[in-house]
Amino acid sequence: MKTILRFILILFCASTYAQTTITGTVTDDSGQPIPGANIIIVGTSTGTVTDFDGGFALTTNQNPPFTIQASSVGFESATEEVTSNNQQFNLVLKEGTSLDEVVISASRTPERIFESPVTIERFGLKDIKTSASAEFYDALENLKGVDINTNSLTFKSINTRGFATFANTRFMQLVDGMDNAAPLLNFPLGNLLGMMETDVQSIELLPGAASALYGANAFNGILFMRSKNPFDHAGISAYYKGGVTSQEAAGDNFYKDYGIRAAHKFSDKFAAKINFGYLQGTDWVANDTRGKDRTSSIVKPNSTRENDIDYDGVNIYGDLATSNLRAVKESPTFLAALAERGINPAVVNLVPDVDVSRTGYAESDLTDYDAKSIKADWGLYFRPWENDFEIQYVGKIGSGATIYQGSNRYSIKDFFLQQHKIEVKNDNFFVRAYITRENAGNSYDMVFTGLNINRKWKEDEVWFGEYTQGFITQTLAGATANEAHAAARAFADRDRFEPGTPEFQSAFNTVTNDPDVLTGSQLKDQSKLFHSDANYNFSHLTDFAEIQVGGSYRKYELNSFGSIYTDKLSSIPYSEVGFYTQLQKKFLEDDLKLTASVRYDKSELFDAFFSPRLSLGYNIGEDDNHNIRASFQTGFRNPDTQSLYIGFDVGPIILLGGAINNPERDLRTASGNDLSATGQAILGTNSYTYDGTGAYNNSFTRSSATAFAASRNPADLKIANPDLVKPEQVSSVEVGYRGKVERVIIDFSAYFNQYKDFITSVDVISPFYGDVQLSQTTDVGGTPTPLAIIALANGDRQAYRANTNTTENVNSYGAALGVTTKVFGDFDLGVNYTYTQLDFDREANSDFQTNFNTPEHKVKATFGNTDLFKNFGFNLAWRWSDNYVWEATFVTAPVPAYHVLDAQINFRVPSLKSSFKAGATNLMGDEYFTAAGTGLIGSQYYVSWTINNL
Amino acid sequence: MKFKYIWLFTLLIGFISCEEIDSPIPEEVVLPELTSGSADFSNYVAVGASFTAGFTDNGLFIASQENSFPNTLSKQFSKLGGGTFKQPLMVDNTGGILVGGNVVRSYRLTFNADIPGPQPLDEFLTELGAPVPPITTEAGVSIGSDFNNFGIPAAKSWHLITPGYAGLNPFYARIASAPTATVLDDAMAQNPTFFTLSEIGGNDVLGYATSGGDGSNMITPVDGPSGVGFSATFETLVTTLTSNGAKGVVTNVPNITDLPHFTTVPFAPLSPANPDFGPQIPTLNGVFGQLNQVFAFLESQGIPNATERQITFSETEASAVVIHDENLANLATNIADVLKGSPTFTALVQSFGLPEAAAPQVATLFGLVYGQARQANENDLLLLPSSSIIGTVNTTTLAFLMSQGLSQQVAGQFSAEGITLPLADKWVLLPSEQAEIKTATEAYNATIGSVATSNENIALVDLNAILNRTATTGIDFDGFNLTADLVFGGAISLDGIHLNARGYAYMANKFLEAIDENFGSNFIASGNVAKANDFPTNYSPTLQ
Repeated sequence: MKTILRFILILFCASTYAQTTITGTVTDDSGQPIPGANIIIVGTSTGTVTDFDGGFALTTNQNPPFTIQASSVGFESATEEVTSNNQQFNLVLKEGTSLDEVVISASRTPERIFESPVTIERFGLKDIKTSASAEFYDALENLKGVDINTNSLTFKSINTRGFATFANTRFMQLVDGMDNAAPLLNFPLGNLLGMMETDVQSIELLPGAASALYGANAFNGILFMRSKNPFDHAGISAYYKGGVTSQEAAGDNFYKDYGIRAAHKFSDKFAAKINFGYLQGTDWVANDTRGKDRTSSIVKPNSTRENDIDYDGVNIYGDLATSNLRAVKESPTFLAALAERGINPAVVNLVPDVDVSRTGYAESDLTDYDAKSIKADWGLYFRPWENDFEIQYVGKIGSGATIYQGSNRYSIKDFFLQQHKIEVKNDNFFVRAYITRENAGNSYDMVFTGLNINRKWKEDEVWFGEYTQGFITQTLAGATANEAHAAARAFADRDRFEPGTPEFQSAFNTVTNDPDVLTGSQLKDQSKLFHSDANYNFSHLTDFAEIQVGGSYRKYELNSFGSIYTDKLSSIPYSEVGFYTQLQKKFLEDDLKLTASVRYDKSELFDAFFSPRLSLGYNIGEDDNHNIRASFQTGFRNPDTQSLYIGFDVGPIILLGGAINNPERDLRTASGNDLSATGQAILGTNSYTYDGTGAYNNSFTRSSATAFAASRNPADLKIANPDLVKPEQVSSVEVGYRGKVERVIIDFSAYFNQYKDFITSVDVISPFYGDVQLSQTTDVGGTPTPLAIIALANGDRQAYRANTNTTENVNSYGAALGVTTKVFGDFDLGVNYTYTQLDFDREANSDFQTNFNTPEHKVKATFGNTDLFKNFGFNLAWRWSDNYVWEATFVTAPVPAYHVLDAQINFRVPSLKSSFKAGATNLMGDEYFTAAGTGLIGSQYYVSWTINNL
Repeated sequence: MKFKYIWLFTLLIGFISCEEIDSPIPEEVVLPELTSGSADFSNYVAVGASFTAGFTDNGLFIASQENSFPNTLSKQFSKLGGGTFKQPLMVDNTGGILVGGNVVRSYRLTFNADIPGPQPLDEFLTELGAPVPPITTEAGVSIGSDFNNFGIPAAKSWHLITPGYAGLNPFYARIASAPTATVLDDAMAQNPTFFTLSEIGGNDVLGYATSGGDGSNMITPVDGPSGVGFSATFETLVTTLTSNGAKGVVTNVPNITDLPHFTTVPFAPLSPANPDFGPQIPTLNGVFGQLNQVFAFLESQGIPNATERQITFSETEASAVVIHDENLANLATNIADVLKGSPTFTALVQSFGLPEAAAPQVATLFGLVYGQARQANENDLLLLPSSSIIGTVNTTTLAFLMSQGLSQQVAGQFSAEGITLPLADKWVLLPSEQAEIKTATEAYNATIGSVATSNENIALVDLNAILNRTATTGIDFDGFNLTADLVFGGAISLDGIHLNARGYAYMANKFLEAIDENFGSNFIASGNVAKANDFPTNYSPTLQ
């Protein structure tokens, strides 16, 4: 391979003959050099970028005359005619506005942001350089409409327009055209498999449905990250960042983050680049000791281990194991043990019918909070004809340590993700194919770690038996019930494994290396994803309109070894295919732009869907300074892999996917305390095996079963029997305005989304015996009693969080307004406001979770100056979020309103091609969180040195 | 910045004024604020007997008094301006009391896991080798009369208005304002604004029941003047207590025969597996075989139902005890006469090592002992204390039989309580006695019910229904299943009659419920109630 490459290189080098060289500088109208400006020869893809002093040198085999164009973000571009070799130019760029920036994702074709048919946000190089955030990815949070949820120092989930947990399955993230979703999780992995700061060319963000062009997952929004092509950006650049994370729970910890980019243009035909990045620090410690409700996961702020015998702490793990003492009282083993000791079994009447949980371990006992991100990527770029036709191979890997919060909290250790892409493209088309593979490495579920360390030390049945024994002994000795509970716990907990002891460590090691959820907590995953897509733009062939067609194919192969999906026996493959076309035409002297697109999608599991989009953009005003736009689009979303194939027992409830045949694969066994004596008699076995079909064809709603438990009135029961899951659809109407009023740039948009068949989960209770229609009965004390009622009364049932669609209307609407301007001369000021609202009849659908998870009001502002003095700049970023409720499987709890202020100062040293930055995030130090269950976000203080990043 | 951009912010504010997001977290159920209704709880006085006092485990002691239902109630009343609730606390936790230095009530019961069952505290500690704390509460030491709790253990209805009752009851003696005072007057001297008049009528039947209806402690008659008959007495009590406009709560009388004191010992406790009893069964059946033939003969001679008195002990299952039934026709002479003519009886007498000539005398003794005997059945209630004497040798009978010339061994064989010696009347509540109790209870309750309904200042707690539910279905109290079983029922203390702390707490809640219903307060709805978890079922033997 190497030899062949070398050979090809030589070929290309040999083929160059004539050369024209031009040099020059690019400055702004005040004479300041503009580094990183693009210089291209018009009509070709040949170009370069200016260096730190705004200087450039361009060598081409083209003979004069030709035209060069200089452009830079935030400036209007300028052109010059080249008439001879060795000519020198000084190009002066007039400061432009952000409206002139070019975006490509809104229509899959370059266009001015001003004329984009839908709402779009652009985050360019300047924004990255001036960002006050610790990492460029974090700075996206300052964009209007964007929510970032922090799993970990190294894993952040981005979303727009609500409806997301950390599993932001309605959001898509493309890095150089590759979906960086993990195949297993089916949602983006933040920047874990993302990009290095010095390699970022631009970031674009489309809030709202973009399914018409980008397929099923681009449902609520899509993020595009493009890296620097080595043909245009060659050389070595690097950064080093070091600092301190400061959090009350974790203390002050050093962290470091560095990266290097090396790109080389071997010739006009061949270029290559390689990136490497490394971050290491200490994660935010999650220490929320409030209790939560077992079935609804709603936080119980006043519940503590001391005052709640059935306490289930948010970040305390192991207390998931719970039992009603009734089960012990009825347990033949327990009664036999009493009889054996000559104790009258009637003594159990002193034991109340209450739920008691085991004693858990704090999260900090179950993880070292090591946060690490190791990233590398490399690319080979080949332009055989030295024009826009390019063949690329790009490889990416990501590894490290992080924390992911899904149904439970996971310590992700030594995971390994890799992507490989082949892409062929020119200005009119691309064809690409890539695979994503993952290996969960030494990752484990922290909740189950706590649970199973406890079980390794003492089986649940033994522990609850001892607890009951202790309770009885203490009661007879004269304790109040409260005292008896405390003493019973101390008795059952005596000699438990204490964190820090060799016994604890040994149990920890065994449990975290065992993928069986009954005994271990290891997360096993070797899922993969294959994706290919193609696009052709006919604009150069047709005059009457710009037409594009494209298509994509995707195949998943889920392989979690039964640890998350119902793939214990074999991996689960499934595939999706889609095609789209778009037509764009301008009318009325180009002032009116009409874009129409339609997409056809077919998953092997579901019927095909068409999703059309129609949008209008109209320029008004004498200088065309105002643009209004309106669009209507429909999107649809195939159920994500978890909605389809999950089969995961989180303890009190089994998360169950609603794909056809999936419930059948979810096999469980109830025995011991899980099955009452009555149930054993009715079922005729003390070990009952059942699959998940009951969730869909024989179940009650959880809320009605709860009501029944309190009232004992069978009339309170409501049959759930949800449908299997199917695709979800959205119809979205959006209007927007962009314009310039004097020096103020305004960007406003408002939308209304109506969801149909919204994919959600519903909590149901399926009895082990008896039909939910209550037709099967047995005789109890002379009256025929429905078997299902007996099952509920005896706790012989399974709770499921079943994935399905709601037939209820789920609507959401919102608006965003951003203004940017210059104040006090040349200070940049940006303020934006985002409003979001969910319209859903929750009261009537208390068993559904919508996971809206975004505040009604958000206000963000940035203020800065890139050149306060010569080579010295600063930036402040302030965000305010209204309070809202975080709703998720792990925990549902209020998120209080918060203010965050980030700040940075920077200093450029052109002679060293360096810029230095010192900054702090959350400067006010008020710890906050955006999602319940995570560690509080503290402050980060850092200094960085970036070299040669133009 | 120029002011003309202010319109942008006006636009922002426009959005903020929209409707509230409804939260996935259901609104917390906020309990209503506690309100007092029409009653004045500022000075609460409790009048009653042992339940009101907090009598538990066959004793009254500091800890049990602190868990008395009036004290528990007073803690809720204090939230509505109720003042300090002063109780005449005992001096120690022994449960006993002295009169003139002599123990008149001994130690409370405690739970001994080795028996397993109730055992007097002093015995328990002695067995452990632990020091037994002395009983230090002296009835003769007056502690004043200024109290809120006038619960006088053992008091019957009319006792409360009997001048000089202090001379009869050590618990009242301590707090009586004068030797001739009455409990009611002393209570009224506290100027109650609110009162509870609890378990009146209870001791009026209980004394009879706990003495097995043997005649030593009679049921208070329903009729008769105040101070004699129940109805008039009860009306006096209520009229006096409400005379200053105070409101209060009364209780009716439960069916005391549902209490474990009467239901714990089964009528057939004699197990053939018992090594002291089982091997004797053939011999016993041999002896009683003679008697059974007599009964068969007598029935054939026209004495009705004589064969129902036949006594047999099963070798496979538990047998009923033999009891004395005062309602049976006395067949002493008939039995003696028949036996005297029986040659096999003579042989039996000789097998006892007695001369042939002793047969007529033994026949007379047989007649005397078994003239009104039969085996118990499911309609008889054996009193709790009988459990400790069944099968033991009655020394009085033993001495008597020996004085009649029987050897100690033979005399002993015929002195086994409930086996060869019919259980005396005081150990058994016969159906006829139960009926008397029931009749009296129903009559009392009719009076109590009508007083309560006719007086708007009176609320009624239906203790009768509550005990009935406890004894049949059991009652749920904060997850605990309260039943009327001894020790394990969780509601009734070790003496089988009085409640334990948790039972009293439940009772207090029932009072609150009645107060809410009648006087418009909202203790229950506002969650101001006693919680089961805060109360024990037993008291530690180490409590001193």
